[in-house]
Amino acid sequence: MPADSSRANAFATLHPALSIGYFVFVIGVTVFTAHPVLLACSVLGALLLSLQLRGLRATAKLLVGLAGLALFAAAINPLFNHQGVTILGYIDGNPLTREALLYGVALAAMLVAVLLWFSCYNQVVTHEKFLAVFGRVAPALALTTSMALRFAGRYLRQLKTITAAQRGLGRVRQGDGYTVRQGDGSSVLSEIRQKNRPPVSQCTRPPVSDRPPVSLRLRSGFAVLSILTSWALESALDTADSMHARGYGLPGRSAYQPFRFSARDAGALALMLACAAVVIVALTSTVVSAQYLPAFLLNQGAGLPGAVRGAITAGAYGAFGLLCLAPTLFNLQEEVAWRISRSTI
Amino acid sequence: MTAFFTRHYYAVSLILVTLALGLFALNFERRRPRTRELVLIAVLVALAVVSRAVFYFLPQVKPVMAVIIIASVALGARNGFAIGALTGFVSNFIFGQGPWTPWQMLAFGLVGCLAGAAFAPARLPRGRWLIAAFGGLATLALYGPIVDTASVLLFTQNLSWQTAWPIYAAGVSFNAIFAASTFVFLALFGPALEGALTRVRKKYGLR
Amino acid sequence: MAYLALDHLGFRYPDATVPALDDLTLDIDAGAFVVLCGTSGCGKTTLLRQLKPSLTPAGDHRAGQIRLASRPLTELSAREDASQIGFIAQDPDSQIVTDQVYHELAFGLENLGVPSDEIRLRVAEMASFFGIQEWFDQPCNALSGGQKQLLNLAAIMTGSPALLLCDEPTSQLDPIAAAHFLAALKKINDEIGTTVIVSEQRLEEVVPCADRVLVLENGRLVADAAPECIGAKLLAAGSPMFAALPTPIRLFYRLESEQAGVGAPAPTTVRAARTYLQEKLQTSNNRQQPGHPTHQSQDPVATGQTGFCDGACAARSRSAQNDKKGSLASLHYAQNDRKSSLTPLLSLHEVWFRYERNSPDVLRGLALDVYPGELTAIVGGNATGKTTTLNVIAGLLKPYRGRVKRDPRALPAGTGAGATVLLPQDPRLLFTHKTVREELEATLPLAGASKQERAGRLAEVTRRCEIAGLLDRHPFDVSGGEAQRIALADVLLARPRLLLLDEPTKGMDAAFKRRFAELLRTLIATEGLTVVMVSHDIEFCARHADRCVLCFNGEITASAPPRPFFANLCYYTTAARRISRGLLPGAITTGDIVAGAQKESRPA
Repeated sequence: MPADSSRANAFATLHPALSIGYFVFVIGVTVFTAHPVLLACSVLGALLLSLQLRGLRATAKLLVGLAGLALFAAAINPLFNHQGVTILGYIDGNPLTREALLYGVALAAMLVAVLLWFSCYNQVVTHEKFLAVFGRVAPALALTTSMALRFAGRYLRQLKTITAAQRGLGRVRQGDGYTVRQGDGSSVLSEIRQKNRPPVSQCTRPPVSDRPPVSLRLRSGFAVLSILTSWALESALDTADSMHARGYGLPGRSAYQPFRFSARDAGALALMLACAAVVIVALTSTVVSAQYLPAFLLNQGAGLPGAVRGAITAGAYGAFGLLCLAPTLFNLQEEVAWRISRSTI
Repeated sequence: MTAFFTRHYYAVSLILVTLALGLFALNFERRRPRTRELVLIAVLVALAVVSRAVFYFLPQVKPVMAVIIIASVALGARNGFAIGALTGFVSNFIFGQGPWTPWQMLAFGLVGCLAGAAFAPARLPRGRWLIAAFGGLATLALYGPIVDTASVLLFTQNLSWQTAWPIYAAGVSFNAIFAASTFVFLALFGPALEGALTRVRKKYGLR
Repeated sequence: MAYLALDHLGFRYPDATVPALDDLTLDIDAGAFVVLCGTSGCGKTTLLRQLKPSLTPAGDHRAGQIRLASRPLTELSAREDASQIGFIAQDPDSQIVTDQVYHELAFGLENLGVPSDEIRLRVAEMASFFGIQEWFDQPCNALSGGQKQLLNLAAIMTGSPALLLCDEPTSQLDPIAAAHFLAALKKINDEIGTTVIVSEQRLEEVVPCADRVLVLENGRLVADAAPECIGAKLLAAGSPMFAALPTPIRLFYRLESEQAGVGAPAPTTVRAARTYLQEKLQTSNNRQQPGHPTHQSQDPVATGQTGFCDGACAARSRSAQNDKKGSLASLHYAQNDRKSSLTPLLSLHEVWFRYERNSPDVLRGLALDVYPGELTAIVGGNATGKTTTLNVIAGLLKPYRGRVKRDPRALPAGTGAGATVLLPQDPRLLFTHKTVREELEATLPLAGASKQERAGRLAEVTRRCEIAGLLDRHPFDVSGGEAQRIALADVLLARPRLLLLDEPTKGMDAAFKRRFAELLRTLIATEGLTVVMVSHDIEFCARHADRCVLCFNGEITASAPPRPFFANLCYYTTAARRISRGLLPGAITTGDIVAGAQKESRPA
């Protein structure tokens, strides 16, 4: 995966289980609570990390792409949800409420935060890391996924070869079929990624392309796809043989863990657990909570004394804030340490 | 009463989806598929993922579902779920993981599972048009709604028809195109793929 | 007691009438390096798969027994099978299972349940032994074919098997990668003591590594000897496999056959063959004219043999200036000769090409003339622009500078029926139908003739390409050589004027290569076909091409008929030329050397 190695990404050098756990927790809290303060922390953390890992240009591009979606989310609630106690006005005879509007804004922020976090996740937890961690839990599925990923890269390149072969025979006309530029498998993947932008959701799909000669291209597409299918199924027999010959399926399979849990990982884990514990206590005791509809209620938790609640609230805000900023700070600190150590060389 | 999570509908649904996928994973691991079965699943998943690259010039017109359905008809309901779910998973590795991943996996998986079950031997006859019709219908009535429901749950606090219908409405045209293209692909490409699969399955010695 | 003992082994595939293996009895010692050869379909793969129980196909009939370290192979547990016997197949790509190099190395050990820490150590050890640290962190898809096959080897060696079986492991690799792979095999054999059995079509490099050569024919063992003696055995048996032996061995027996000394050990390397040839020429010279200076000291330029000039190496020591003139003149003489009499079918003028705007140029001012009715061979190393040139000729790639000029009367534009056709390296990329017959019938309408003519055409092409017996088979169920012939037939049905071939001899056995060359010759003569091929197979080009073209760094460095072409090269040239360099000027095939040596011993 083309993680930009020129940019500091020390966070990605942590044990992948840690990175996965981190993203699951932060994204989970962001999605499930919709608490304005926590959301703000999340958006800020995700934005800074995205700037750090992917740079200004890519982040800006993503944000522009997200704008429509965020707007949709912000609009759909006040327009179609008429719950809420504070009525601001009427549209077509339907009430527009302050609570629904607030919820819409919170939702937009949440979507932006989540998609930014996912874009960082894709930079940090590459598929081989994910599969190394899950190879322990679900070895057969992890292996199947790993194989499918490799096959996918191979098939993309084979598609190019098949199209070229068909063109050389004069069966597919110039400009038809599938072409990718020369390069290794990973660049083929990124190529395909550019051609099919990720479906941000059901609502923001890319517009239909405006290139006309469709029927001919469809026909050559079918020819190329059926050749690929026969070839792929046939050559997979060799793969199955190779697995069998190398003892796949014997009882007592082990899972190689290329990543080691270091002292640094232990420190990071301790910090994350501590922060997460405070946040979880605050959320489960509902000391920190948010309700938008029908009435906007913030931190309307259980009957604890005010001082305790204040302490828990402050602690949760601080802990989650720290957690969201942790990767950025960690990367910065490593970068500074590297600069200093380099200057002494 | 205040819930832990403000957005408990989303939370509960996500937990349920994850649980369903987890159960599938457990079942898959317990079953210990044979090597050749595993390889065949991986090949079909990769083909489904890559197939959309062939028709890149027509967005939304992607043979993914057609490949999943043919593969599931050939390999049965259980493997069908595996092929569908893994296709969702693997294609998101390439196109970027997001909050839609689990739902997409579930939706693809369910269509695969249903296809495998419906066209199992001694059930529906495996006619070209029947499979094509099934594919179009399943895309429109199963895949689309599941993925759209994920959006509804993501976008709204509590399930109410009032807020849900615009989201479903926004999805309809996309689902219709996807369903129509699945129908066309199954009708045109289905028999060829099925033939290749049957041949290779015989060669693999699977069933 | 031998390490591996085959006792009257027989095997027949289901539905087959003749056995694939017939009464094989042989012993192989531990630590041996055995080369298994024979024409395709002789039973090499079948035999290797019999030695690895997990890959043994189902058969109708099995006879005899195989013992590994004095235990019957059937008693081997699945775990022992996986850990003790390694197997490497032809296609480097499809044997790789996972998508990361490190994971591929760990895969076998994971299967055996080796703990993670030990895997780490073994993987590190293997990566160091094979020198694959540079690409250790890469995804497998980013590797070259040679690297992939080396990865397969390393991944199998992590389990430290005692027996390593390789089924034509280098057939899909270019010569440099193949040599690298064989060096790794030799290193394993020498330094680890692993027993290696390797089957091969291309014997030039592998036979000198071996200490034993086994030759199979129709499932029977026809010869079993050390490389120095295998030639004599094959000659005695009258086996066609003799023609596939390395040049030094063939040369030895061709020179010795008329005289005594066939029983002596034959040279297997170019070095040994040079020494042998030198002595041979000296003794015959001495016998003829004692005291006369040997041939070496004669100056080929001075004796007026510029066409057969001895090339740069011998001349370089005398005069670099002189040499340059001599070789360049001889390399282009034929072309100049042609230019006056024939219009080229197609010519490339100063062609520049790059794949992407910011990538380096692949073709840099390349100029090439293709003459009608000729077989032009483009040779050269990897990534020198050979295949790109072929694509430019086909019109599939457009140069950004320079032009491609075509004789419009003789060659219609574009690819397809009646024009230019480029046959891909992998013939399987052509097939879209369920049977060979349907495949060919789908192409027929392109020939643009009446129904009867089409039927006649089909029959003719089928006969010519020797595929009449394959018409009802599935195109994926035939062997590699057969698939190639089907692809060729498919392409020929469309009556192309210009046939472009990309590495056509890859994976062909020696016998089929010769038939393939004859087929091309027939087509050139009867159909007025023009052929351009890109190849690493220097020996094939030297023997069968009308014109050889050396592509280097995006340019054509030399272009001439094979004889002056290869006679002017010292390194990138045929084995016969390397053997005879400085001894017999202008000899590029064993036949040339034999003729030269006979002339020496019987001067007119």
